[in-house]
Amino acid sequence: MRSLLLILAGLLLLAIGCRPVYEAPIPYDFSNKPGSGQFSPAIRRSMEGVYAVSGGGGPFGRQVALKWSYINDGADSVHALTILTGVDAGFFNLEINQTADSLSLTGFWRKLVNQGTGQAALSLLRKRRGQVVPYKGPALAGDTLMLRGTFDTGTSSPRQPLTLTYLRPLNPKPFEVIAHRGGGRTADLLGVSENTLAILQRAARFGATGVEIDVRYTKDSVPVLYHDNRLNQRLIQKNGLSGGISDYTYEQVQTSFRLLYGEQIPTLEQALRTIVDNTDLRFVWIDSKFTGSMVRVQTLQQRFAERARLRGRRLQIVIGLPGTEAVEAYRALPNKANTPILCELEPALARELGAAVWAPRWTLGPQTDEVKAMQAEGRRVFVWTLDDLLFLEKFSNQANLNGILSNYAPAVAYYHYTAQ
Amino acid sequence: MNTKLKIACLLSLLLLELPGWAQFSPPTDTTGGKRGAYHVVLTVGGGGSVYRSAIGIPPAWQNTEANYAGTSFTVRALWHPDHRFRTGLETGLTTFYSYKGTINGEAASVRVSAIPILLIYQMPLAWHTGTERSLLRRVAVTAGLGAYLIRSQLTYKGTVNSQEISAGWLGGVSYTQPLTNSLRLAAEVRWLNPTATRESDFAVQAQVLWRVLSW
Repeated sequence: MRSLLLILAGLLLLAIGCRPVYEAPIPYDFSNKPGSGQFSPAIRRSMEGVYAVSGGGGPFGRQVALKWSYINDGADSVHALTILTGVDAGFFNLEINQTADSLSLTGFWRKLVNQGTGQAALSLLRKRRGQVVPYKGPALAGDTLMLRGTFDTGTSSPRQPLTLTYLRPLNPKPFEVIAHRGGGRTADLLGVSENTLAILQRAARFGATGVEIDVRYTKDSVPVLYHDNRLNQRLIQKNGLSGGISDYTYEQVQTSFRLLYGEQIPTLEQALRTIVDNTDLRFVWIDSKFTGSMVRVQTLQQRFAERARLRGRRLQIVIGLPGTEAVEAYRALPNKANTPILCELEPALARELGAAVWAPRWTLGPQTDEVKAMQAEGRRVFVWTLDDLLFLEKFSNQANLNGILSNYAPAVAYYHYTAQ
Repeated sequence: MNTKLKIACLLSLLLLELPGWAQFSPPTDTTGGKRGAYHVVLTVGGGGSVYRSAIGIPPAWQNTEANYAGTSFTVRALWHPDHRFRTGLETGLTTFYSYKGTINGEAASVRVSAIPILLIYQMPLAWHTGTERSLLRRVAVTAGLGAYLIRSQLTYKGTVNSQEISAGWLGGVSYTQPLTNSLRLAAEVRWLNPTATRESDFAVQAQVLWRVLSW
């Protein structure tokens, strides 16, 4: 009888759940002040590259890649430096310390595959003939750029030294680092929810050059960004309601649902406007998770592609076709001009539809011959959704792809930019 | 069906077999003789409930008012074997909570309720010494495992009814007072916990137990 009771108790514990409760609160609030302070465009350009790591930088690997990004707020831009570490999908996001006399940056580091996070502060220096001095202007021949500072591993931990020394330029090969769900998943504790305007603005800080966004229709056919087929507490704040996005009108969605970090569920129109007006992203993958006509999505895709063109932006917005239903919706469009598509299905169908991008699932393998054939026909080839760090490295270095969709954009970007 | 729900269902089915195993285990009663009697007891209960988890009223709602009190109804069929470990099925309806308010001056409301679909295991505290008249021997602990069908209704510019399934459990303690040979009256306090949707509800019920079948 005791054993029965123990089994019962065990089952109760199972039902109560082994819900993983973990957090990785970002220990730094970006001020997001416009302007670049003493970091002129020439200095920012000269800083981008691959750096050797020394000091106490063991948690970040032997080398890192530095890349600037910006958010355009209309009148000015907010610049941020991303350091891609290549260990555990780690990255630093640093902002310009505009009050400091020297060229200094402050921010945080984070590892996406675990709870590792902390603050960091670095200053830009140059090394010339063995002398390390603060950096003030464009590098001269013989100068070696360095970033030196400290990082911690939590609010109460001691600060450790970190030194980055310039090695070589970033890999210049064209390649799209595409961040899943607008920049990253809510589950990865990025401080903002997936598929929101906020994550779209941060995507480039994760090393992304493009984003994939998930589009569904509300009951009254407004295209909005939401990944899951049901409203659930993994993505939205508890409000007692369930069902799918398509059960609710847009007004009901706007007034009664908030995403996990308090954001509203954005419309596709708001998302594309944010991408075009506020970011330097150059690729948008609209994942067709909706059922029904594609006309509303196509209209927005065309309108914002044109808006980007008029602004001199190099931005491609493609409509993704993940399955036969989306293919039929695409076929049913009365006019397919200026509607680039991305086909996730077999190569023959991608050819038949005239897809600009063929995007097979990564688990199908490198498919080297098909990739070459597609590229020879003028198509780009991406794979999705590759999060395994070991395979990420292999696909980045060997598969000769044009881009990778991942929840770990910092890792994809690291492997791409550090490749020689 | 999510993985946790699948595992819970499989293990619950396994557990459903346990009373049977007890039946077929080598008899320790050296007097031998015939086993039984066996009964199927139908329980019908009703009462009040109080929702115990936090509810999330959307920030866009104004003049909000929440109601955590509700009603709880239960129908349960239990097999009472000739040992203490009873098993069976339960369903019913429990209103969890509701809230109302206005959105831009227009009335809006949400109601949430749950239909449990649970495997029930019950054991009277019959190992206590005493006669059948002993009050403690009439107390039983109840545990349930299974799923809850969480139903919600939004009323704002139309009505949206939706539902989702959540794995969950139930715990309860009851006192049963015999009335006749086949009829009893019980009072039960119960804790309902649909885990996936993060709900919990406390209920008190008066129950009527009817011995439907005996053999």
